Amino acid sequence: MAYILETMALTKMYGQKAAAKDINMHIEEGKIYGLIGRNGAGKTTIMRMISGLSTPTSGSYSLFGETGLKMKRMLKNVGVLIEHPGLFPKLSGYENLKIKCLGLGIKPKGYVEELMKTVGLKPEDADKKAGSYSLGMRQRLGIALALIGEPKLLVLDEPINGLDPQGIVEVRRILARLRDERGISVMISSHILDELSKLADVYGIISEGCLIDEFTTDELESRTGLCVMIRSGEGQKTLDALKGIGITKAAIDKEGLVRVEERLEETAAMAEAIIRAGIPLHEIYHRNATLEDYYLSKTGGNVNA
Amino acid sequence: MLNLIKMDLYRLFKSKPFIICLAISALLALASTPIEKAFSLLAAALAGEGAADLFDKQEKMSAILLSPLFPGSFGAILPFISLVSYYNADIEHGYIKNIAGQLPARGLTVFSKFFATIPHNLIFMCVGVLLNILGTMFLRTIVWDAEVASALGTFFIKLLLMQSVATLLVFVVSTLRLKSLGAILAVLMGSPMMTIVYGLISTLLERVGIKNFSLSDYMPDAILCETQPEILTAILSALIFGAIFLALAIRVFDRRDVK
Repeated sequence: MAYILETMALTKMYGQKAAAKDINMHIEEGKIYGLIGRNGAGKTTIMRMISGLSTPTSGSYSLFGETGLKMKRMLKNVGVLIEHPGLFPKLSGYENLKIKCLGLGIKPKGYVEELMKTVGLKPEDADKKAGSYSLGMRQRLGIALALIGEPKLLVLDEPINGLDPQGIVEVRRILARLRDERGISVMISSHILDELSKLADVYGIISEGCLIDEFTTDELESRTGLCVMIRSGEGQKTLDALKGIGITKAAIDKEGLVRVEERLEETAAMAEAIIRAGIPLHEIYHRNATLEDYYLSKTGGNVNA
Repeated sequence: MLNLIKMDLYRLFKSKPFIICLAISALLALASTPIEKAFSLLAAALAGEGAADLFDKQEKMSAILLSPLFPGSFGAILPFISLVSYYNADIEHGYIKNIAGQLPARGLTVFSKFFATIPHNLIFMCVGVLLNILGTMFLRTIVWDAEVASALGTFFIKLLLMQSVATLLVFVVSTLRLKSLGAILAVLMGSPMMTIVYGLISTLLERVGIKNFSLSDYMPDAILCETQPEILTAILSALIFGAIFLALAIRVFDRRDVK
């Protein structure tokens, strides 16, 4: 299969610490790739490397089938929004976009207006200073900046962070439209796994600088099925009680619920073990596992995604 | 590359520090001759001398062109302050991330900033000289003398010297990301403190065998002699200094990650 981006043992060291280690990831054309990992896991480091902002310590990557010097020429096809939109606050939204247009040799007249429309910015926003934009408007302007030059791959680091629910939905629609209508591939990282699961076609889980899993939505569905959710007074003690009856595939999610992934039919035995341990049991029920559940199971129950 | 220069020029002309520094520079240049004259009158009055001869004095055009780049030490700081702010803006606001990755080499951004600095310095110098002429015209008669052509040559050498100082600033601010050090250097350029630094550098150069070279003679605000060896040394100094720091700035910027 031909990938528009393929990394080969991509590694970035800061001193003795590996911020990203032996990363082998793959992005297909026209797909949205969701990068998941807790703070400091190495997501931004990977995104910086593949967008040409940072040089890998070792390993390599191919872009649109090209490697080496030819790959460097392909970097013009990668639009990027890393961490927060880089804007000149004293300049208007239009001027911010115009600067990059000039840099890439694009005539800004008409093009900038179209870009603003694409990301849902109103014409009257064009002359407002970027510093006066709301967070949502700044994120949209950041996406518009990343879109200048018709990139085939967008690398977006936490583009929905801090947005209100409406802003999140709007960004999701923009990205889905870019994929569906223009065939643009997107690599996106987000802490909001529920939102990511509505958008991404492929996922990569990063933990402590390593890519520990890469899977499609179909694979996610086949891997995650039903699970048992337990709401009790004490998560850790509940895990210990379950261990007592031989259940080890269990973890605590970020809401404090215990999620069990084995012997799902034995809810009565689970409840009995919990009560016998003196733990108040509030609720025990079956639920279809989510991306978050899968992520937690892969990362050993870390709740800070 | 041309597109990047266009981009940097657009950004420069939109930069408020550039406009503010240029406006102050212009005011200083305009007021320098009248202020100088006022001080002369005051000094003459205090000494009990007649002041009549101070009026209607003729001023040679070549003298204006050869006078220090900007009147007073404060004037010399302004273009460098404007440059430090301009070099730092895209890094401080993170705008550099939008474009640096899409270029075949990140160092191209430094190169384009350097080229955008040429019109910046030319504008500062031209505005300084033109308004100095205007200010002089209020009080004195300017005569077009025979040395104007060589003075113009010196004017362009000063531009070259200013450009070479700009490479040091682009290296410190854009590449090393040391805005504060850049600002300190910019201020020092117009400060008497810099004489000590120049002296130290000259002593060091003397130790390595380069004798009779005083760096202070080749700074943009120095009064250049018009002897041929002096001019050649000035051009060579500017080119060597500029080339070293520009190459260093591009190389280091290429190797360092964009943050």
